Amino acid sequence: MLLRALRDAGFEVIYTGRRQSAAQIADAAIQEGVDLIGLSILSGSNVELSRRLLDELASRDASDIPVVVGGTIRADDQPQLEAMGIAGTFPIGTTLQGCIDGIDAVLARTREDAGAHL
Amino acid sequence: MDTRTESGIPLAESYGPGDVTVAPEAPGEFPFTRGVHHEMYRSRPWRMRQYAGYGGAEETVSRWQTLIREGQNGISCAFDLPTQLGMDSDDPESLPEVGRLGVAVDTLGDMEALFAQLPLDRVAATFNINAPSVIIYALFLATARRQGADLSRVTGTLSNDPLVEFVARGLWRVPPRAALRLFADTFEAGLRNTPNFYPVNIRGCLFYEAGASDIQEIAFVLSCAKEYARTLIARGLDVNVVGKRLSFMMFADHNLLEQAAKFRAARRLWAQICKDELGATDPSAMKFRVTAPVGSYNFRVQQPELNIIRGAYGALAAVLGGCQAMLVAGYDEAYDIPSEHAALLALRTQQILAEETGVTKTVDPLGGSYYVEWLTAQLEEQARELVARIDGMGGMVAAIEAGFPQRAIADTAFATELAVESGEKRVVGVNCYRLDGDDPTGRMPLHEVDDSARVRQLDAIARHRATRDGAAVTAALERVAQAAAGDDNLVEPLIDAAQSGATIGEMMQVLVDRFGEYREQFAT
Repeated sequence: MLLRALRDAGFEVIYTGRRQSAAQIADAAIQEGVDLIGLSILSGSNVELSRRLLDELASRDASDIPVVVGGTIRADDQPQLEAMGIAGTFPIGTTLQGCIDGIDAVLARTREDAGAHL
Repeated sequence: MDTRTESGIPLAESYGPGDVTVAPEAPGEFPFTRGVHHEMYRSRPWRMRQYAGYGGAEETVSRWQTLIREGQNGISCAFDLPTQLGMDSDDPESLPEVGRLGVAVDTLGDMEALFAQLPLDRVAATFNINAPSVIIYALFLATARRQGADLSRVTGTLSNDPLVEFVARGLWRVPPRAALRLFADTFEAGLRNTPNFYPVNIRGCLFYEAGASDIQEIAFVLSCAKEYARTLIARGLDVNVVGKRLSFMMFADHNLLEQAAKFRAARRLWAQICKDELGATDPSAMKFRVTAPVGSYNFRVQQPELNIIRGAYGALAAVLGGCQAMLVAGYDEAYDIPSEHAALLALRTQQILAEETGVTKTVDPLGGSYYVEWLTAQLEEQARELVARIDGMGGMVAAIEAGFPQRAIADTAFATELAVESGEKRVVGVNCYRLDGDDPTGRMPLHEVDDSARVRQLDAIARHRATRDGAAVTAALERVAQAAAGDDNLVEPLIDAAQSGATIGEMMQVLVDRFGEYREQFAT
């Protein structure tokens, strides 16, 4: 559903499918040269799974790829996700437009940061 | 005012005698529009079995005991995601999910611990698990035998519906055609060993929860059922025996009248398929026996207390639709698995319906309503057309391989979400009557995630691996591999393997080595 909404909004989206390991996602993201990774986690284990992905990205020297997380995210998980470096969270109840706007904002911020380093 | 039903069927201002073209038969009579039993809830209410389980056996049994003490008849076991995939708790990919959304089961000992206080010939247990269902049935049967249970009195249900996973939920392991073999081995062993247990529960609800319309839910669940029935008939089983052991699950949303019509339409269509296409002659083998889950995607995060009200309407829909069993989700399930408080409220929702509302006192109270009879016929006709379309593709497995139901559900789900976001489909608290700034978390005691259960589970499996006879395990797994390579039923070799100490993950790996691992196909 989000895939369609993002494509309709003009994004190029690579969907790796359900139940991918953190290593698989990191590999695919680097191989495809993506601007952003979006995780969908409905089990509630978003803190641990996000940390795994960030670790995998760091081990591949790819920590500059911003990661956003959507799904069943409890209020008490949000500060932990932000502290570990998750760029945006979209808890259940977020609209498709809310996700698109949030991703746009993260990408704009990433571009600014990249510009500042030049 | 939207003048179409949720399924998109245009509605007239009112309906009259001329709109009812099919005069419904008496309850309990073919094709069972009005219910599969003559007396329905007059003889006994539906079975109340709340979906429950988390952590290890200790936490899960404690929740089950609470629900049984508070009046639930039977239990419905929630397994954690690794178990639902046939993976062990100590698999590196399992760790964050161990005991998170259900109970972790790795060994026969774990299964026996769940039922240490619950004799399987006295407590009806429902097992919600598909990819490794043949292994779970083996553990279940081994546990019942160990208990000395009277196997002819063992009742309950195993979902054992692998096909739905390829479309709607994603908990697959082996590819669809191999999954049919595992399904059929389980079913056959179920018939032979526990003749009053339902060895399949075909899950229309998962299509619906993924976004399918009512018509798609009926058509897809019946197409899966045809695929399963044909597989069993091809093995030489009698359709009149098979039909009596098939059971179903259909979602009861809170749009009351269309849901009741959906259950009626599904019963009528299935009975005709059994008779006309599958060759059944015993009416009892044509009954669409159905459990109704209430509350899931339609339970919202905003103003979560409203979900209690949605749950009550959904439960009423299920009863007006003539369900045999029901489970109601906790009102907090958009946040996490239910707290004990929320689980109890959900059970009480069912009990108020059964004890106070009077809807149980006469059978099919909506029968003969011009509108409901008309809508039943509309849903039946449109579902019949969709079933025929899937037949034209070569059946449900071929349709899944072509990505058809996946795309159809994605289309419906996307259209529904856009309708909610545009405000065309009104959802109280979400796109109208919002309470801006409302933060319900302070007033809602959410489920406490406790890591100690995971630590105990990991300790237990480490101890288990250290103390078992490795050579015996290897030999027993080799016998499973031999059975998998040929046509022998897998259940007894799996029981031997489990008794020798093999874990669920090891047994599943043998099956995956033989049949391969499914890779998701993408509709682009």
